[in-house]
Amino acid sequence: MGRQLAMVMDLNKCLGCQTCTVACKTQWTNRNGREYMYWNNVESMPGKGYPRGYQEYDTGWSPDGRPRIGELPAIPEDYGVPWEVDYSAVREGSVLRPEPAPEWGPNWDEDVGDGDYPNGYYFYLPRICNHCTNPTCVAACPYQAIVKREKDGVVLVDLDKCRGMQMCIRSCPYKKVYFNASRARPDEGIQGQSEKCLFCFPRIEKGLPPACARQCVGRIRHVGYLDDEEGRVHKLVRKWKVALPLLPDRGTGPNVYYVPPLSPPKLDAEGKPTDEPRIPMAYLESLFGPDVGPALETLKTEMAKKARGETSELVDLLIAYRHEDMFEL
Amino acid sequence: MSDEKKKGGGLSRRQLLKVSGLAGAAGVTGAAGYGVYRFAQAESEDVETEGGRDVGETTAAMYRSELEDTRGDAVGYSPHCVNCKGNCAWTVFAKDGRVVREEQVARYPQISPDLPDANPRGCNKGGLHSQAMYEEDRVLHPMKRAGERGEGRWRRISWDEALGEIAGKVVDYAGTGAFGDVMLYAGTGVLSPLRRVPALRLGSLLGAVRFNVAGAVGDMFPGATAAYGISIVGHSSEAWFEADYVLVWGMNPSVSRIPDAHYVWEGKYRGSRVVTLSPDYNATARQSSLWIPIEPGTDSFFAMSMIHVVLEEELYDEDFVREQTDLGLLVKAEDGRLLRESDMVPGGKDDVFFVWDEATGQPAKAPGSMGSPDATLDLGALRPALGGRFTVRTPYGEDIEVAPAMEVLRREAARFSPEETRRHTGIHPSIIRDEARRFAAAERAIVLMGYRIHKYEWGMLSCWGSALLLALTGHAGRRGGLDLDNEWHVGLPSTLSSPKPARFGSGHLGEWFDGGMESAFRDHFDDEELRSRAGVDKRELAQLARDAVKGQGFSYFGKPKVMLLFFDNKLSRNSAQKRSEAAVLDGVELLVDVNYRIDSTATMADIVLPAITNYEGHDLRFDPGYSRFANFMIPPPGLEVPGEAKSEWEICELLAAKIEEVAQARGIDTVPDPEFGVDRNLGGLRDELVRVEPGVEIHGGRELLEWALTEMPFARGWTLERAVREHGFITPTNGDAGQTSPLYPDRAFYSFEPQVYLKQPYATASGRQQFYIDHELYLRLGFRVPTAREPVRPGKFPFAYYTPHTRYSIHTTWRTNKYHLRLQRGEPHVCINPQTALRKGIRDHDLVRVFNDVGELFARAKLHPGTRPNAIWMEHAWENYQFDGHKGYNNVVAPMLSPLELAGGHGHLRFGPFWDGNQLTSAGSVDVEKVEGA
Repeated sequence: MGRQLAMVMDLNKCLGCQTCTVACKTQWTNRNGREYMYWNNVESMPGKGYPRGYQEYDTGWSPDGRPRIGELPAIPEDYGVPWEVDYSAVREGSVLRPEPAPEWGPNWDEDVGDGDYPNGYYFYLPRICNHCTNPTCVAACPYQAIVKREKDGVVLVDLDKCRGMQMCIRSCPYKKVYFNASRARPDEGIQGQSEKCLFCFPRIEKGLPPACARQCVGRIRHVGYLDDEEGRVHKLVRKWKVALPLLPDRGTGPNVYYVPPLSPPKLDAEGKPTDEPRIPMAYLESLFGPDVGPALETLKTEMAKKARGETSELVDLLIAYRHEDMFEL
Repeated sequence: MSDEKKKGGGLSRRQLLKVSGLAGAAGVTGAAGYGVYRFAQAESEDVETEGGRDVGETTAAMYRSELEDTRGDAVGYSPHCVNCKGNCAWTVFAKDGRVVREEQVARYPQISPDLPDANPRGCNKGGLHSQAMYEEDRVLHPMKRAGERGEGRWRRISWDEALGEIAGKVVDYAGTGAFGDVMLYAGTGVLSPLRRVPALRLGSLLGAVRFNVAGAVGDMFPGATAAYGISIVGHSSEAWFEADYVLVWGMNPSVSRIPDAHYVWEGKYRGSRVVTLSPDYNATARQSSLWIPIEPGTDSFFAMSMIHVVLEEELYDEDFVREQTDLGLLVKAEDGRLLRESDMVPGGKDDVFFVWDEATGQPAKAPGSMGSPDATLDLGALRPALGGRFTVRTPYGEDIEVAPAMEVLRREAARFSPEETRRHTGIHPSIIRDEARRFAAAERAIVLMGYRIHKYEWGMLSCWGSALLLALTGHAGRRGGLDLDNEWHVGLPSTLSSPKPARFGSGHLGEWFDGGMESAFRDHFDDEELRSRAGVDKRELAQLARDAVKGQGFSYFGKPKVMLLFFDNKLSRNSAQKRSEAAVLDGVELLVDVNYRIDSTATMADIVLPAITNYEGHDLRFDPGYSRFANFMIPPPGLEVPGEAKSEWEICELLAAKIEEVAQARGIDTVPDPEFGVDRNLGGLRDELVRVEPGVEIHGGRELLEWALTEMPFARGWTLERAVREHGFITPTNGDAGQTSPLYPDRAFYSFEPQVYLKQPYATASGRQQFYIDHELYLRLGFRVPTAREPVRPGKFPFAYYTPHTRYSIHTTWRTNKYHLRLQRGEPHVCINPQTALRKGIRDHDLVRVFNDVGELFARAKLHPGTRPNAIWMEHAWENYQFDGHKGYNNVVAPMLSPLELAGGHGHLRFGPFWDGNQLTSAGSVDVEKVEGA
């Protein structure tokens, strides 16, 4: 059994600023046929997410232990066409318009969420590949082209082996594998290849945290090995149990964990604050499973302790006094 | 699952290549036609690595090689010098002379184990400047208009031709003593103390007009100046972490203070209560302990209702109020004016005031005022009464009825119970009562007030009221206070930017007059509504603007004929955009835009000059006061500047030389400027420009930086080599860098410690935090103490319209960036409440027309449950050319003036960097309709 690198993302600190998205984009996906891809994206939830409706597909593990092979999202429409902007138009006095005309994008419903004024609500959900413990993408590939690395549990597509069958994409509950048609080799009958979040392994080899995490200005991302009992990732996930995987019922064992969002109180019909948070608990459970209630309770209890001037290891970890301490590589 | 999904599929490879922009040019990125990225071509091999199961070496090598490409072959450092309070240290990676990527330096030291560090400072905008700087909107060569203005026909010209034409026009006017006909203005596109210098310096030598930047863009804080005499008031963002109560009011830090926002949310974890007041449920509201939805423009009622509760429930800090505020000063019952020494003794001063001493039962002079010989707030044995009515007998034997200003305030505040203000604000009274108690009880409370509030008609009342709320509850110094806009002392001599007096013009009145804004103002607002809410009608208000220039000391030098704009998107940011654009351009003989990219103003310019951008020049930015670090701009070695772009210094030096040449050819040497009592030395302009002090000549941005390093106290001993070695930033340790308090190396910065702890006077007439102003206009219109007024937006259009900050740009810089557009909806959108939209027959993403009697604009509707049903808002700063007909987001913004901001020449309310009005942009109303058939 190898080690597992994992990431904890604190949704209470996430600003929705997309600095992570931009960092990943300039690091990996602004070129080479990846332009439509967002290995890292931030979606406003509740919402359709990215790619559009990704949670609705038939994915994950079936009860007989086989990966479910669902439909493919439409490429690139469900991901968002990376429309081009002809900047020479502005010189010519024309209107600067994206082409083709926008109809959907990776952050189309930014800040929308759900609910009725004044009780609307939303939160930001940043997503990368979950580098799952039981990844369906690895199992679904007919060519064994996807590798879960022994040394750090990072899941990677081996481009020597990938023949572009897209089974990985179809089986992934998170739709975090992408098809790169520019990597076609027609003479070999290959239409393209799969590519995905690398957990920035080339950066990690140089001692640099993943771009999305190191550049996260909201300081929401903790990176480390899950088996490091002294490490913050282990403490947040295993000891304090405040960081939970997304869609745990799909059975893939994600290794990205989320500290679920608190929200301001709802207002009653008179406009008075109630005791009820804006984000319905049932909705949070649909994303993070039944442990979300206890996780939020733990969080509130520890915050109250800290507010009283007592110490709280948990709150101190989440505050993250030193940015560099967030990364235990 | 939708049918669409079941169809599944995906585009063919051909289609995908097309939309990816890759067809025929695989691997090429950027505009200049040479890319740095490629697939590695290594041979395929099957490898079982030593570490166990892994991908093959081909795959690993390919991604490693791509990473190397983004780390480049040369490294520089840079912040991004736009009008942003960020100021962040970035590492800039270049390869083959071209910037390939940037990443935050993220090495700032943690100043105290009790405070989170400031890393990794830098946001989504800085993170893609490497991409934006090479887009096709980059200006590469001097361009001259070859058709009508705005027609989009250009001719490439040489630098020499461009400068010759500009110099000729400048000499036409400045050479004949018509200095005010030339405007030379550095806008908010490059807001750093060094890169702005050459433009400001050249303008000051020429006696050219420049506007007060903050007034022109509506970023002025008159409400703070009224209270404190200055508006550079605030904390370092570390204080946000320490506060027990953070009231976020007219600011959206998670969107507009991205590098600092973590301190708020880490502070909330630590135990602070974060309460956000906003009409819409924004990114900050969603993270807060409580969101208070408020009717747009009614913030002054919120302030007064909080003050009401504090007074009614006696939650105020009496000792603090007596000593630190003017509320103990005596007010004459007869005329509402403060009792002055000049009332009491012949030849007495106008700026010495009185309190009623409870200890002796006598009136007594208050120390600390502008005219007082005692420059202290220390009251000694005095115990100023905060209530009651008294009779003061003058030496003339005259009896004057007086009462402390606190009495006037009590009467005013009594009108604004939370139960009463609810009908204005929509806020439930229980919220006001609970929050006022919590706020007063908090050991350390902060009001985070951004630039939005003063864009409303009564923004000044809201800000002044917030200052009063903080004063009543004793929140100042290390107990918190108002957080607006802290800035550090950079320490450069003022003669650097202004060796001679420039024509420093009122920003808001300059734009008002130049833009002919009275016409749209008259069309939009209603006399009866205005009179009942503002106390003046349209004619009177417009007259007040003219009087402000004539009698109140605000400056305006007339409409310029030559406009040289450095990084100023004037034609995008102004109200009644199309109408004011026409008015501004009317009569302008030459409009020059110096910029690195084509902004809206450049499209209408006569000449566009290519400038450098971030990463390409030399600079050291320190002024924005949230963060305490000074960040270098030092280009990566070997970086090539695209086309013929030049640094600001080079441009100004070349222009100065050319003006000199033209002037000499016309036999012009020095021209007297009697208005300012100086000579304008056109015949020796270049020498004057480059000689920054006797024996020191500067010829470029690098030399300027090297000279500045010897001048700036915090940078002494630094060299560029050291800057590179130490990762591009300095941690200043000079305590006097703080303008309102010492800057301690290991503690958060708070304003007004000298006042609170050393009893030094504030920069107000009374020397104390001032909440009583007896300017004639304030007395006449009922504003002598903070109060509340209804928004002036006309009822004839149903929706309030406001334009808050976006997370995707700083003003228009980066607004058109394709990577950002892909994370939005690609084109301008307005947010509409879904119920409102339903009523109007508007669906999500429909094209809608937003209109009023000022103008119209077309945009996509975004249905947004967090939007108030009676409001429509659009994130600001889209370029005009992103809209049909170039009718931009300001095209429906009704120009308006606040009468409160037109008073001057009184006490500490005197026109200058801290006292100018604001260009108001959120005073009007609009309607919206679906565009049929679109």
